Amino acid sequence: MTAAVFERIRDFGIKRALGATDLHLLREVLGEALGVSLTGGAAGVAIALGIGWLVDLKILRDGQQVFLFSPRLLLFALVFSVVLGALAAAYATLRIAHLSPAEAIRRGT
Amino acid sequence: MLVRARGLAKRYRGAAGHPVRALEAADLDATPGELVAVVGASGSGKSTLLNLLGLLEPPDAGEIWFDDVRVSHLSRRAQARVRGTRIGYVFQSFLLVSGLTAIDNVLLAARYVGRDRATALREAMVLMERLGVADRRDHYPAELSGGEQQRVAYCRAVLNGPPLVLADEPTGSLDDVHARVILGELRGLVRERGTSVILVTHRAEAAAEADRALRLEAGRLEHA
Repeated sequence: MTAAVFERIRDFGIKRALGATDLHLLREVLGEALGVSLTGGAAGVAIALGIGWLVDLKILRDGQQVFLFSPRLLLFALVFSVVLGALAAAYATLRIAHLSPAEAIRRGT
Repeated sequence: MLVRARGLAKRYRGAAGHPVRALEAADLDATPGELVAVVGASGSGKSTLLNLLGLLEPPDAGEIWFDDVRVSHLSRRAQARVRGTRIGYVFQSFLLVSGLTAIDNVLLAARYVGRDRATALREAMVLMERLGVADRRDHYPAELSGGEQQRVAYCRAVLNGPPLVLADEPTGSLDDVHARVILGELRGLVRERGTSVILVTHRAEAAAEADRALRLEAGRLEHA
């Protein structure tokens, strides 16, 4: 997420030249981060559930269970991924927010 | 809108870490309905001057006034508002956002100043139709020619009807035909809307169209 924001430093400079404030940019980035983190987090939870189910089904045939995913754990994983994504995006946005539009455009070109 | 700049100065850190003087005590006025050309060799400080006038970077010294407001000393948020509502930029390298289509690039100008999207879309389409790029509205910048990109960038610059348009070598990457289109549009803005246009150029043809020409040499601004 941080790298994705730094890669678009030129676009941020252009948008600020067109009147975007730091808040506009932060909102845009956080919106994207939320989408990406939610999708990634949900995919991670689904993959973990699938692998856990396969392992329990194929390897342990005597009714034992190795993986136990409680709803609370899955929710925590999802929330953690969203919070981490948002923090990374906010950190990167604030790092480049102090640049003038011209400097952002120069660095990104 | 009356634009006044007094004593503008800017230095950059050079490759060896030494300060390089880009602009030194520059004064400039532009009245409504005036096209001012700034000419000068590469590295003379022309782009720096436009960046300062456009509030794209802060001067080391000096002041910029739009009418009776000293815009160079406004807060970051207030300067962003001024950039969005009162200044239009046309850059030599177009500076379109690569991930957005032509129409979305044009509409970016309206987004950050809170304009109604439907109204802005109608106006954007009228502008793009006039500039001959309406049929390219859903294409990304990489799919457009240089002339098309510059016309899209021009539409974005004037969508909000800014009283000041800053054009940094707007015809530098264009052939003669497209250069004439852009110069004609800038001239039209000055005549029909009373816009102040400050044009940085090395084209004699463009400078000849100006009401007033200034020369930048080694960071100093003089009458041409």
